[in-house]
Amino acid sequence: MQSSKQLKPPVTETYDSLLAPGQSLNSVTAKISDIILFPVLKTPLGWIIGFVAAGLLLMLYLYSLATLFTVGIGIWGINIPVAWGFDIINFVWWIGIGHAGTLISAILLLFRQDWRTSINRAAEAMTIFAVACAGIYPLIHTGRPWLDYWFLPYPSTLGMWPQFRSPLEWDVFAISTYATVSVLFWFVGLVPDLATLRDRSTSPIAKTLYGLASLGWRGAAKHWQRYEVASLLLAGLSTPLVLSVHSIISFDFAVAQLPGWHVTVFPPYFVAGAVYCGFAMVIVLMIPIRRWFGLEGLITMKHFDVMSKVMLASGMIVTYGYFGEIFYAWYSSSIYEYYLIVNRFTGPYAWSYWSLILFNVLIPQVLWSKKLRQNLPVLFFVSMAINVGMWFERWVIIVLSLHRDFLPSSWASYTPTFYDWSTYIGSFGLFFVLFLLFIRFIPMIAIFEVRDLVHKTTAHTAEHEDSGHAGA
Amino acid sequence: MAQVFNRRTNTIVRLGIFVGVPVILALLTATWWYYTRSDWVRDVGVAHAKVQPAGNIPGAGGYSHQLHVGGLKLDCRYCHTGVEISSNANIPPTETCMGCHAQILPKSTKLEYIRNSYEKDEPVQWNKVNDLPKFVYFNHSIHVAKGVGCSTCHGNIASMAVVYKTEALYMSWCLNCHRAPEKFLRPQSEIFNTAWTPPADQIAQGLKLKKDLNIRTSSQLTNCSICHR
Amino acid sequence: MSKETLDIQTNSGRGYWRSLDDLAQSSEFQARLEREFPSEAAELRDPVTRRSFLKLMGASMALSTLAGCQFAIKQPQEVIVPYVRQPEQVIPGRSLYYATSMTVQGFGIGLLAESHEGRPTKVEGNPDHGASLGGSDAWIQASILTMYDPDRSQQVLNAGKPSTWADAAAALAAAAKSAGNGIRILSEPNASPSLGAAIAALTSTYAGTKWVQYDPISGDNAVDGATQALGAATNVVYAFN
Repeated sequence: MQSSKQLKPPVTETYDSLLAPGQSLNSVTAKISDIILFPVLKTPLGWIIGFVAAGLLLMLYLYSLATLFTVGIGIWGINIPVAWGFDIINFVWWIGIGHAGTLISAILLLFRQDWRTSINRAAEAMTIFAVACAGIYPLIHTGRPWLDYWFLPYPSTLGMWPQFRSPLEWDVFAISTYATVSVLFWFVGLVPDLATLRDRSTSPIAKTLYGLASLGWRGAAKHWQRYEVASLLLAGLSTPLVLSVHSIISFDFAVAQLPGWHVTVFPPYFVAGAVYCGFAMVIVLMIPIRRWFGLEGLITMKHFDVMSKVMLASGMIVTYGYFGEIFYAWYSSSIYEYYLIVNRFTGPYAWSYWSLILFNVLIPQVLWSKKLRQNLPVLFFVSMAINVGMWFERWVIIVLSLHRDFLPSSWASYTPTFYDWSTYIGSFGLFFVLFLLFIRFIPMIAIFEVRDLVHKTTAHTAEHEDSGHAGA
Repeated sequence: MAQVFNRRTNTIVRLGIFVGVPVILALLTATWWYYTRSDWVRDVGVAHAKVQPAGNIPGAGGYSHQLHVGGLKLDCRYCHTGVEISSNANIPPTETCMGCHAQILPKSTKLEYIRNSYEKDEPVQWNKVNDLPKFVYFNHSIHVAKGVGCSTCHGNIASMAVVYKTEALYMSWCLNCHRAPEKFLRPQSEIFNTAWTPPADQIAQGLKLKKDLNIRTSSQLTNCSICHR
Repeated sequence: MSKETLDIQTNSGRGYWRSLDDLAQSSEFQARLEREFPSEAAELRDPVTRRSFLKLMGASMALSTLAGCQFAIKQPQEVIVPYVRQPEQVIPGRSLYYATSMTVQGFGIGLLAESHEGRPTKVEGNPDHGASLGGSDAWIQASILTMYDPDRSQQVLNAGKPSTWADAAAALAAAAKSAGNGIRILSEPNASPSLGAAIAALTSTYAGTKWVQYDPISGDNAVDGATQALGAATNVVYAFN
């Protein structure tokens, strides 16, 4: 990144290994920490442009929220019967994106999958920022966000408790637990790297800040032992969350009796969809970042290959869900369920259903080919298609089920307004502002984990004598 | 390179975690408690908070329930005529005061404001003590008819020189009774007894009253639309 | 603002306020608080221009924001204002019903008006009235709003300017004696015998006076049709049996 103005050397891609040849303990630490440790005033222009663009989007977001708070949710296109629109679509979409990070950090850690090491840090950061973006929607969609604390079970003077039988109340606990555990896991994993940065930085301000954040980490054997226990415990805590969070969000729909919502397949289908969409987002983010920061040696084509396979597998589960829905409609012998499917195929919003099938089912089939899996432009395009397709999935579930009520007299249509769009597009501003701050100030690849991988994969040679052990 | 942190840093951080954080949490909780649910913030038990009549009329003697109810044994309904038939208990018109004070203490300067009001046809304004929010529907007549006495909510009025709140009127307080009326019901003969205290077998008597007076079940009484119409 | 500033500085003790005007207790603010309608409401006269509409909306919004600011920690102190002499029938908290009538297209409709401490709040048909048996229509239901309509004429006007009954009588007398065609009275259709008698008295005093009744939404065409069909001005009442 420092040398962004210089011509980059042609990239040699590594296809069969998780590390490019020639990586050493020193080179890994230097490579990752050099992205961060340089004076603020020398921040590369590309980063600044990106940050300004994301900041403008964030301003749009704040403007939309301010309008929402002062005017009310009438600025959105929702009404009865389509009482949920972009707010809940985007909520489910964003929270789904977060799932890849948790899956990578928790489940793959427990399964000792080495390929997670280079991507887990960024994926976990993505999780946290996506959860932040997601969590805002249910808070603002209540219409009176200043009363959102009513969600919480606290001893109120009303003498009443929230409705614990409502899945919307379960959401409160699911999301807040998810956010808390994700932040903790991410931060615990950061501590050794923050200590490395503390030791490598030369500016006293950076030294103090990284020093405070690294909680006095000295790399002692006791520290490492406790670190291992803590991360194992957190991985254990996170693992059920990968499954539970999106299951509970699917209950928001599945517990209702609306055609298209009241389906038992929803929890697994939502979880698979979340992983699908989350991995797509990781790929969308990693392809450009890896190129801009010259991280081809650490994030190799093998990583993308493995992630594509996960995406393909979860995509097939989602596809199974789509066929399942059609089967249930027929098997239920309910005219309402049956009509819902007919309406999806041929109704006024049929275009969104067929877009969903195109983006989520047809386009990702190219991932069966190893050659296309390892072609980054193709992979980028497919991942973008999956992100769009998963957005359409939530649109189809929410809008198409709601706009046809049981009584034809209550039928209506839904058209998003300017503020629906601005609140959605603006939330990317929040996401990218946070993400850009993350890649600027925090090592986006776990240094010590990659060093561990280097240690495992290279022969025991003179590497041991390198002096960079303070942080790892 | 010099150390960034000195030895005391550990102590400071530990103090912060084990003392600072709990103290801040305790302060936040206390502030929240005070401003949202304490009796204090609603002036419960604060005598002289609301001197009657309103508006600091010079020379006006404050109206005393202690004198009229405690001393002279006036019945509540002599002035609060609406209490058995209307949602409002009704603050008496000046006419009611003049009914006695045309004869009793007709020259008292303390009662000047009453006579002025009567002569000039200008109402006396009284400070509202128990002020329910406008989104709450409350009806005195049904409570009085179903065995809820005045003092259950208003306290021992006969002992108050200046009437003050005895309850904070939080919704949870309303629900205390709507969920279990038997704890508070009293016989019809005791409704206007300002010094009534529950007997030892209150629950048994309350349950009997609840049955005799056809009081609805607690699930009906806690229906939202009972109070929020 | 100097007086108000002084007031702010000399006020001491605990107090809660919703705006700077409120804090200063400026006389404009007091006046605005006490008026039932924002003063700009009177601007809503025909023709409603875009400017006056926007001004009015702006003022209402500003006021509603003011009223919506209930972040004060304590409830505001309210006062109870009882009657001096309580009317015999009135029990505060209970509604009183009055039989009344309202002229619709010239005919009186029997109504019941619900009233709380002297303020009508609801109008319904009178079940004891033979013509409606308690029925009503949209016009009758909406008529309660005219009661509180700020545009409702509240005094004698002369060419839009406030005037008095004495001036009106003088103007009428002058008009009757002038060389013109006499007086014209324009009103909605009205079948009231009292009003009819009063106008008959006026007509007999000032010859040449004419009473013109006009209803923008009238049944005149129906009456004209009935005249052509039946030979007399008749209200048609259908018998569906």
